[in-house]
Amino acid sequence: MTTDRSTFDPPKAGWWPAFGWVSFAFFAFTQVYAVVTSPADRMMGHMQKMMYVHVPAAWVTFLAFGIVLAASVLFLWKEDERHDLIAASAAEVGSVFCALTLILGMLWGRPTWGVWWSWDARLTSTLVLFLIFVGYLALRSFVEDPQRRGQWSAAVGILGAINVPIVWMSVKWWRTLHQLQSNPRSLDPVYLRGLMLNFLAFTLLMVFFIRRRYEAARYERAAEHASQAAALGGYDG
Amino acid sequence: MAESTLGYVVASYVLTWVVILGMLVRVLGAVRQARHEYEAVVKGDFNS
Repeated sequence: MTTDRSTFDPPKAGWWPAFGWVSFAFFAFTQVYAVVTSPADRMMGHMQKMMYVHVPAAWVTFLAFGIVLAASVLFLWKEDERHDLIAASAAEVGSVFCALTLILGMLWGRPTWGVWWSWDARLTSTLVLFLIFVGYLALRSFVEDPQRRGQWSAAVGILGAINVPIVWMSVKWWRTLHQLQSNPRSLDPVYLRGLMLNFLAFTLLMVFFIRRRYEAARYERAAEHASQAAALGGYDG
Repeated sequence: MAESTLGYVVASYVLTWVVILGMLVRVLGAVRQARHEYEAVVKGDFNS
Protein backbone atom coordinates (compact mmCIF):
# COMPACT_ATOMS: atom_id res chain seq x y z
CA MET A 1 0.00 0.00 0.00
CA THR A 2 1.25 3.50 -0.80
CA THR A 3 2.33 5.29 2.35
CA ASP A 4 4.27 8.26 1.00
CA ARG A 5 4.57 11.32 3.24
CA SER A 6 1.77 13.21 1.46
CA THR A 7 -0.76 10.60 2.70
CA PHE A 8 0.01 11.66 6.26
CA ASP A 9 0.33 15.41 5.71
CA PRO A 10 -2.48 17.27 7.45
CA PRO A 11 -4.95 18.48 4.82
CA LYS A 12 -5.74 22.12 4.15
CA ALA A 13 -9.29 23.47 4.38
CA GLY A 14 -8.58 25.94 1.54
CA TRP A 15 -11.71 27.48 0.09
CA TRP A 16 -14.00 24.64 1.22
CA PRO A 17 -15.57 26.56 4.16
CA ALA A 18 -16.62 29.28 1.70
CA PHE A 19 -17.89 26.59 -0.67
CA GLY A 20 -20.00 25.26 2.21
CA TRP A 21 -21.57 28.63 2.96
CA VAL A 22 -22.40 29.22 -0.69
CA SER A 23 -23.85 25.69 -0.98
CA PHE A 24 -26.07 26.18 2.06
CA ALA A 25 -27.29 29.55 0.88
CA PHE A 26 -28.07 28.04 -2.53
CA PHE A 27 -29.82 25.07 -0.90
CA ALA A 28 -32.04 27.40 1.18
CA PHE A 29 -32.85 29.41 -1.94
CA THR A 30 -33.74 26.36 -4.08
CA GLN A 31 -35.98 24.92 -1.35
CA VAL A 32 -37.96 28.15 -1.04
CA TYR A 33 -37.98 28.68 -4.81
CA ALA A 34 -39.34 25.19 -5.51
CA VAL A 35 -42.07 25.40 -2.88
CA VAL A 36 -43.18 28.91 -3.79
CA THR A 37 -43.15 28.58 -7.57
CA SER A 38 -44.77 25.16 -8.02
CA PRO A 39 -48.57 25.10 -8.19
CA ALA A 40 -50.56 22.25 -6.66
CA ASP A 41 -50.53 19.19 -8.91
CA ARG A 42 -53.85 18.09 -10.41
CA MET A 43 -53.53 14.56 -9.01
CA MET A 44 -51.34 14.89 -5.92
CA GLY A 45 -52.07 18.44 -4.81
CA HIS A 46 -49.35 19.92 -2.61
CA MET A 47 -47.88 16.48 -1.93
CA GLN A 48 -46.05 16.98 -5.23
CA LYS A 49 -43.70 19.33 -3.33
CA MET A 50 -42.18 16.29 -1.59
CA MET A 51 -40.53 15.57 -4.94
CA TYR A 52 -38.05 18.42 -4.28
CA VAL A 53 -36.54 16.64 -1.30
CA HIS A 54 -37.17 12.93 -1.93
CA VAL A 55 -35.88 12.73 -5.52
CA PRO A 56 -32.69 14.83 -5.02
CA ALA A 57 -31.92 12.85 -1.84
CA ALA A 58 -32.14 9.63 -3.88
CA TRP A 59 -29.99 11.19 -6.61
CA VAL A 60 -27.16 12.14 -4.25
CA THR A 61 -27.38 8.69 -2.63
CA PHE A 62 -26.63 7.11 -6.01
CA LEU A 63 -23.93 9.68 -6.72
CA ALA A 64 -22.20 9.14 -3.35
CA PHE A 65 -22.21 5.36 -3.82
CA GLY A 66 -20.85 5.90 -7.34
CA ILE A 67 -17.94 7.77 -5.72
CA VAL A 68 -17.48 4.82 -3.33
CA LEU A 69 -17.26 2.52 -6.38
CA ALA A 70 -14.72 4.69 -8.21
CA ALA A 71 -12.57 5.30 -5.11
CA SER A 72 -12.69 1.62 -4.11
CA VAL A 73 -11.57 0.47 -7.56
CA LEU A 74 -8.78 3.07 -7.50
CA PHE A 75 -7.69 1.90 -4.06
CA LEU A 76 -7.50 -1.75 -5.14
CA TRP A 77 -5.64 -0.74 -8.30
CA LYS A 78 -3.18 1.85 -6.96
CA GLU A 79 -3.20 0.93 -3.25
CA ASP A 80 -3.18 4.58 -2.26
CA GLU A 81 -4.80 4.96 1.15
CA ARG A 82 -6.27 8.34 0.23
CA HIS A 83 -8.68 6.59 -2.14
CA ASP A 84 -9.83 4.38 0.72
CA LEU A 85 -10.47 7.46 2.87
CA ILE A 86 -12.47 9.10 0.04
CA ALA A 87 -14.56 5.91 -0.34
CA ALA A 88 -15.23 5.78 3.41
CA SER A 89 -16.23 9.46 3.51
CA ALA A 90 -18.59 9.01 0.55
CA ALA A 91 -20.09 5.86 2.09
CA GLU A 92 -20.87 7.68 5.32
CA VAL A 93 -22.51 10.64 3.58
CA GLY A 94 -24.31 8.35 1.09
CA SER A 95 -25.72 6.22 3.92
CA VAL A 96 -27.24 9.27 5.61
CA PHE A 97 -28.84 10.39 2.34
CA CYS A 98 -30.05 6.84 1.70
CA ALA A 99 -31.75 6.75 5.12
CA LEU A 100 -33.28 10.16 4.39
CA THR A 101 -34.55 8.90 1.02
CA LEU A 102 -36.20 5.89 2.65
CA ILE A 103 -37.92 7.93 5.37
CA LEU A 104 -39.06 10.62 2.92
CA GLY A 105 -40.42 7.84 0.73
CA MET A 106 -42.40 6.50 3.68
CA LEU A 107 -43.77 9.98 4.39
CA TRP A 108 -44.86 10.22 0.75
CA GLY A 109 -46.13 6.64 0.59
CA ARG A 110 -48.45 6.83 3.60
CA PRO A 111 -50.91 9.40 2.17
CA THR A 112 -50.46 8.14 -1.42
CA TRP A 113 -50.59 4.36 -1.05
CA GLY A 114 -52.19 4.17 2.40
CA VAL A 115 -49.21 2.30 3.88
CA TRP A 116 -45.90 3.40 5.37
CA TRP A 117 -44.01 0.52 3.82
CA SER A 118 -44.47 -2.05 1.10
CA TRP A 119 -42.06 -4.84 0.22
CA ASP A 120 -42.00 -3.86 -3.42
CA ALA A 121 -38.87 -3.98 -5.57
CA ARG A 122 -37.85 -0.30 -5.36
CA LEU A 123 -38.31 0.05 -1.61
CA THR A 124 -36.76 -3.32 -0.80
CA SER A 125 -33.73 -2.84 -3.07
CA THR A 126 -33.14 0.62 -1.57
CA LEU A 127 -33.32 -0.87 1.93
CA VAL A 128 -30.81 -3.56 0.89
CA LEU A 129 -28.53 -0.81 -0.48
CA PHE A 130 -28.74 1.03 2.84
CA LEU A 131 -28.01 -2.11 4.87
CA ILE A 132 -24.99 -2.98 2.72
CA PHE A 133 -23.44 0.42 3.45
CA VAL A 134 -24.30 0.22 7.14
CA GLY A 135 -22.38 -3.08 7.02
CA TYR A 136 -19.55 -1.31 5.17
CA LEU A 137 -19.24 1.28 7.94
CA ALA A 138 -19.48 -1.38 10.66
CA LEU A 139 -16.75 -3.40 8.95
CA ARG A 140 -14.43 -0.39 8.95
CA SER A 141 -14.85 0.07 12.68
CA PHE A 142 -13.98 -3.58 13.37
CA VAL A 143 -10.76 -3.85 11.32
CA GLU A 144 -7.74 -1.96 12.67
CA ASP A 145 -5.08 -2.73 10.07
CA PRO A 146 -5.45 0.06 7.44
CA GLN A 147 -4.46 -2.14 4.50
CA ARG A 148 -6.83 -4.97 5.38
CA ARG A 149 -9.59 -2.49 6.26
CA GLY A 150 -9.16 -0.80 2.88
CA GLN A 151 -9.21 -4.03 0.90
CA TRP A 152 -12.21 -5.55 2.67
CA SER A 153 -14.26 -2.38 2.65
CA ALA A 154 -13.40 -1.77 -1.02
CA ALA A 155 -14.82 -5.21 -1.84
CA VAL A 156 -18.03 -4.45 0.11
CA GLY A 157 -18.21 -0.94 -1.39
CA ILE A 158 -18.00 -2.30 -4.94
CA LEU A 159 -20.61 -4.96 -4.15
CA GLY A 160 -22.92 -2.32 -2.66
CA ALA A 161 -22.50 0.11 -5.53
CA ILE A 162 -23.40 -2.64 -8.02
CA ASN A 163 -26.81 -2.60 -6.34
CA VAL A 164 -27.39 1.03 -7.48
CA PRO A 165 -28.38 0.16 -11.08
CA ILE A 166 -30.64 -2.58 -9.71
CA VAL A 167 -32.41 0.01 -7.53
CA TRP A 168 -32.65 2.36 -10.52
CA MET A 169 -34.07 -0.25 -12.89
CA SER A 170 -36.30 -1.99 -10.32
CA VAL A 171 -39.38 0.01 -11.30
CA LYS A 172 -38.95 -1.16 -14.91
CA TRP A 173 -37.93 -4.76 -14.25
CA TRP A 174 -40.63 -5.56 -11.70
CA ARG A 175 -44.22 -4.51 -11.12
CA THR A 176 -44.03 -2.05 -8.24
CA LEU A 177 -46.14 0.38 -6.27
CA HIS A 178 -43.45 2.99 -6.88
CA GLN A 179 -43.97 5.07 -10.00
CA LEU A 180 -41.52 5.11 -12.91
CA GLN A 181 -38.78 7.74 -12.78
CA SER A 182 -39.83 11.15 -14.02
CA ASN A 183 -37.70 12.64 -16.76
CA PRO A 184 -37.45 16.12 -18.34
CA ARG A 185 -39.90 15.06 -21.07
CA SER A 186 -42.54 13.77 -18.66
CA LEU A 187 -42.34 16.66 -16.20
CA ASP A 188 -43.99 20.06 -16.59
CA PRO A 189 -41.34 22.83 -16.89
CA VAL A 190 -42.83 24.62 -13.88
CA TYR A 191 -41.85 21.62 -11.73
CA LEU A 192 -38.70 20.74 -13.66
CA ARG A 193 -36.86 24.00 -12.85
CA GLY A 194 -37.30 23.57 -9.09
CA LEU A 195 -36.28 19.93 -9.30
CA MET A 196 -33.11 20.66 -11.29
CA LEU A 197 -32.10 23.46 -8.93
CA ASN A 198 -32.56 21.11 -5.96
CA PHE A 199 -30.55 18.40 -7.73
CA LEU A 200 -27.71 20.90 -8.00
CA ALA A 201 -28.08 22.14 -4.40
CA PHE A 202 -28.12 18.62 -2.95
CA THR A 203 -25.10 17.68 -5.10
CA LEU A 204 -23.10 20.69 -3.87
CA LEU A 205 -23.94 19.81 -0.26
CA MET A 206 -22.95 16.19 -0.82
CA VAL A 207 -19.59 17.23 -2.30
CA PHE A 208 -19.01 19.57 0.65
CA PHE A 209 -19.86 16.90 3.24
CA ILE A 210 -17.66 14.27 1.59
CA ARG A 211 -14.72 16.68 1.27
CA ARG A 212 -14.89 17.81 4.92
CA ARG A 213 -15.34 14.22 6.15
CA TYR A 214 -12.30 13.24 4.08
CA GLU A 215 -10.40 16.12 5.70
CA ALA A 216 -11.26 14.75 9.15
CA ALA A 217 -10.15 11.26 8.09
CA ARG A 218 -6.83 12.65 6.85
CA TYR A 219 -6.24 14.40 10.19
CA GLU A 220 -7.03 11.15 12.03
CA ARG A 221 -4.49 9.24 9.93
CA ALA A 222 -1.91 12.02 10.26
CA ALA A 223 -2.29 11.92 14.06
CA GLU A 224 -1.98 8.10 14.10
CA HIS A 225 1.13 8.28 11.94
CA ALA A 226 2.71 11.03 14.03
CA SER A 227 2.13 9.19 17.30
CA GLN A 228 3.41 5.89 15.87
CA ALA A 229 6.49 7.56 14.42
CA ALA A 230 7.14 9.44 17.66
CA ALA A 231 6.88 6.20 19.64
CA LEU A 232 9.56 4.74 17.37
CA GLY A 233 11.60 7.96 17.60
CA GLY A 234 11.57 8.37 13.87
CA TYR A 235 9.24 11.26 13.16
CA ASP A 236 11.09 14.00 11.34
CA GLY A 237 8.41 16.66 11.38
CA MET B 1 -57.63 15.91 2.23
CA ALA B 2 -55.41 18.93 1.57
CA GLU B 3 -55.03 19.67 5.29
CA SER B 4 -54.32 16.05 6.16
CA THR B 5 -51.61 15.71 3.50
CA LEU B 6 -50.00 19.07 4.25
CA GLY B 7 -48.63 17.65 7.50
CA TYR B 8 -46.65 15.03 5.52
CA VAL B 9 -45.20 17.73 3.25
CA VAL B 10 -44.16 19.90 6.21
CA ALA B 11 -42.72 16.85 8.00
CA SER B 12 -40.65 15.92 4.94
CA TYR B 13 -39.09 19.40 4.72
CA VAL B 14 -38.47 19.61 8.47
CA LEU B 15 -36.83 16.18 8.42
CA THR B 16 -34.64 17.12 5.45
CA TRP B 17 -33.41 20.28 7.18
CA VAL B 18 -32.81 18.45 10.46
CA VAL B 19 -30.74 15.80 8.66
CA ILE B 20 -28.77 18.33 6.58
CA LEU B 21 -28.00 20.54 9.58
CA GLY B 22 -27.24 17.50 11.72
CA MET B 23 -24.80 16.26 9.10
CA LEU B 24 -23.18 19.71 8.97
CA VAL B 25 -22.67 19.75 12.75
CA ARG B 26 -21.34 16.20 12.75
CA VAL B 27 -18.91 16.71 9.85
CA LEU B 28 -17.55 20.04 11.09
CA GLY B 29 -17.29 18.59 14.61
CA ALA B 30 -15.32 15.63 13.24
CA VAL B 31 -12.92 17.97 11.41
CA ARG B 32 -12.40 20.13 14.51
CA GLN B 33 -11.85 17.16 16.80
CA ALA B 34 -9.48 15.40 14.41
CA ARG B 35 -7.47 18.60 13.92
CA HIS B 36 -7.19 19.17 17.66
CA GLU B 37 -6.07 15.58 18.20
CA TYR B 38 -3.46 15.92 15.47
CA GLU B 39 -2.15 19.20 16.89
CA ALA B 40 -2.08 17.72 20.40
CA VAL B 41 0.00 14.77 19.18
CA VAL B 42 2.42 16.96 17.25
CA LYS B 43 2.83 19.58 20.03
CA GLY B 44 3.01 16.95 22.75
CA ASP B 45 5.74 15.07 20.94
CA PHE B 46 7.87 17.82 19.56
CA ASN B 47 7.47 20.83 21.85
CA SER B 48 8.16 19.04 25.08
